[in-house]
Amino acid sequence: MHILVMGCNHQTTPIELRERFTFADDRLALARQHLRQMKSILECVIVSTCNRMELYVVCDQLHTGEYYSKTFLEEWFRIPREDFQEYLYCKQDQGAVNHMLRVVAGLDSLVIGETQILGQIKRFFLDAQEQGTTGTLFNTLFRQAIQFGKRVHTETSIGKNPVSVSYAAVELAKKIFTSLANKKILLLGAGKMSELTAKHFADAEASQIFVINRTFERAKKMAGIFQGEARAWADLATTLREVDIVVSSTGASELVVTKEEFAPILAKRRESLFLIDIAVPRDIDPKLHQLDNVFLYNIDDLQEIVAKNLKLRQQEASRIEEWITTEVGKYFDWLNTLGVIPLIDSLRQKALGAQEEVMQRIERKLPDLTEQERRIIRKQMKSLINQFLRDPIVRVKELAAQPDREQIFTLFAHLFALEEEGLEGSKEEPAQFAKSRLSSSTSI
Amino acid sequence: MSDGWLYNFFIYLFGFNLLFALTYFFSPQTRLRQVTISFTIVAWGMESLLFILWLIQLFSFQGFESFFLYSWAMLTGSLICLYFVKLDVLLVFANFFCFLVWLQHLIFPRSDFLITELMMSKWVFIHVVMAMVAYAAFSLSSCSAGMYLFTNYLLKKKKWHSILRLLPSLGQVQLISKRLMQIGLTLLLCSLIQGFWIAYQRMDHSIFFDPKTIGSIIILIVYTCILLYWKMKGCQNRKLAWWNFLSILLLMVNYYFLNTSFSFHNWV
Repeated sequence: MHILVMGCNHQTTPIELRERFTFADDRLALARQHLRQMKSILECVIVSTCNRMELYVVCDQLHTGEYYSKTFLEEWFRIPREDFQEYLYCKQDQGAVNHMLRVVAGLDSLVIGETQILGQIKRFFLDAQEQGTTGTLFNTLFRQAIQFGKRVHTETSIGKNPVSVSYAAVELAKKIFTSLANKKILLLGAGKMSELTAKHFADAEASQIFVINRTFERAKKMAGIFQGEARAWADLATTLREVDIVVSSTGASELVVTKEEFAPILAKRRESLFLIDIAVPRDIDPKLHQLDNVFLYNIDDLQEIVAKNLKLRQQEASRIEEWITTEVGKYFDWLNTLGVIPLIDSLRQKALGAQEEVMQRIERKLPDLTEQERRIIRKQMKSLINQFLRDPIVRVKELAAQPDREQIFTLFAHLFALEEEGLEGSKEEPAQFAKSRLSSSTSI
Repeated sequence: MSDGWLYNFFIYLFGFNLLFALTYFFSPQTRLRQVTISFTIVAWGMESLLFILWLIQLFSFQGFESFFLYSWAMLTGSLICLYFVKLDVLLVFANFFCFLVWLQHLIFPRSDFLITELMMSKWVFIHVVMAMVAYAAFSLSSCSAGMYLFTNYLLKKKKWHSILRLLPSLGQVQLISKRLMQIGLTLLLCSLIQGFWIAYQRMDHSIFFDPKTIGSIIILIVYTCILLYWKMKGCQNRKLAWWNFLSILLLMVNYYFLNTSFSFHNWV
């Protein structure tokens, strides 16, 4: 049995092909069912987001699994195999689990460390589990991966540092003010960047947004987007006294807010003022930054913050890669222990059979035993068997992770004379065995 | 309380706390944060236990020293700030000061003070508690002012450092600094009034010439001026933050260096 992941993402595939490989939400269940019914496929989960499409499958043979996964894509999207197979990546076993953990940790995302993918993977898995296209292997793998993703985001700062200019501006504002909830924002200029930054501030629950633009109609239009207030250019000085944050991106070729003109006004303010100048050429006089309680950041300053944050995220990413290696090891250790279960089952069955035989002999020799006495003898015998078997079971489970486990299983079976019953099962591949023996519904 | 092992224990505890807190400060990790907070809570819990044990034997002042109250109040204040405003960095300062006072009292123990009947009064006890809690509040306020100055420096120099992410916002430290100063000022004023009243009731000579009393009045005046200036300006600026930050020196001078003729203040 093997684990296989096949798919395409923003790094490997052009948008023209990616957009054709999109599963509609309402047809995803049908697609999963179709994939699950393909020959060689035993379990499957389909992941489909705007930047990636991936098929996670458990298959009995690698080459057949790969072949039928491609056949599924060909049939489902009606795209000839030759058109897409060069863009697909296909990872197997350790590689597949490693890839999956990188995905949930956000290391494979367009923006490293983003958290959205974790929620999406969880949703795709839960849907597949509910539909019954997953079994023991994927139930355990996805559960472990989701827990790992959560751990990554709580124990590292990979997703905590903003990596866009507009979001960096909001984070800076949070370092100046206690809360943005009661802050007033002035948008100076009604450009696209102002709008994006204002959107972030609005999401942070800024109390009021004013818009000042040379063309009043555009100011009104922009103010309408945020339920704000448009003001005339002539009101700039009075508005600067009122607001806490200014986002400036006019198309002016000269400074719009000069120190000579506005420093006396700003000096009368009682609260801090955060000026964000994202215009090129700049709108706000850099000398204003020298004033006490005035903080001026231009586009280069913000981009420098973004660059530093990206570097920090990459540093965190290398730490997480080390964790991933450990997690992959853990999963395959667990997978290997599945092979020992038939042996343990056989050993238990044999012990219980022996107990039953002895019990019958006792009953024959002591026919006058009361029901209570029988119950006590039975209970004590069972307790003795459990105590006796506990250590061998624990030890053989530990040894199942060893590379020479086949020999160990044979020896174990030989020692306890389990050859006929247990060894056949233990020689099965873990996934096949798991599929045949264990319940497939494990809740997350 | 004068047992050497207890001093050693608390010094090691605060030393470890400080180590964890500083490591967390320079290399922020969730687990380090949890360890720092847990250790601080353990230290606070043990100090609280000692405090309760001591209260049970109230007014038998033997073996109790005022710095212990200061240390306890510092920890309590920093944990309250942590609980309400997630101000982790204050723990570093609180642990640092606690470590210092315990170490100082281990190296220079005060075993020669004379316990008089006067010191066994509950009024004196309240006077000391209020003064020490006021000192702790002023110390934490100074630490907040230090944080304000450092955050302000990083923001002005546009240094997006990992430490900046740990530091609270300027608005937050301003608010905490102000509240702590108000608490400290109120308690110190009450403590002084009560001290005068005790002196008037039970002492033969005036305490106005006592250096510690004069020091405390100066502290009161300085902090009142800072608060009034703050009120006038509407918000804290760098000048005000520097004043607040440096005022901790006044506290230290008054606590450690101003010798006094009063046996009671000698004890403090």
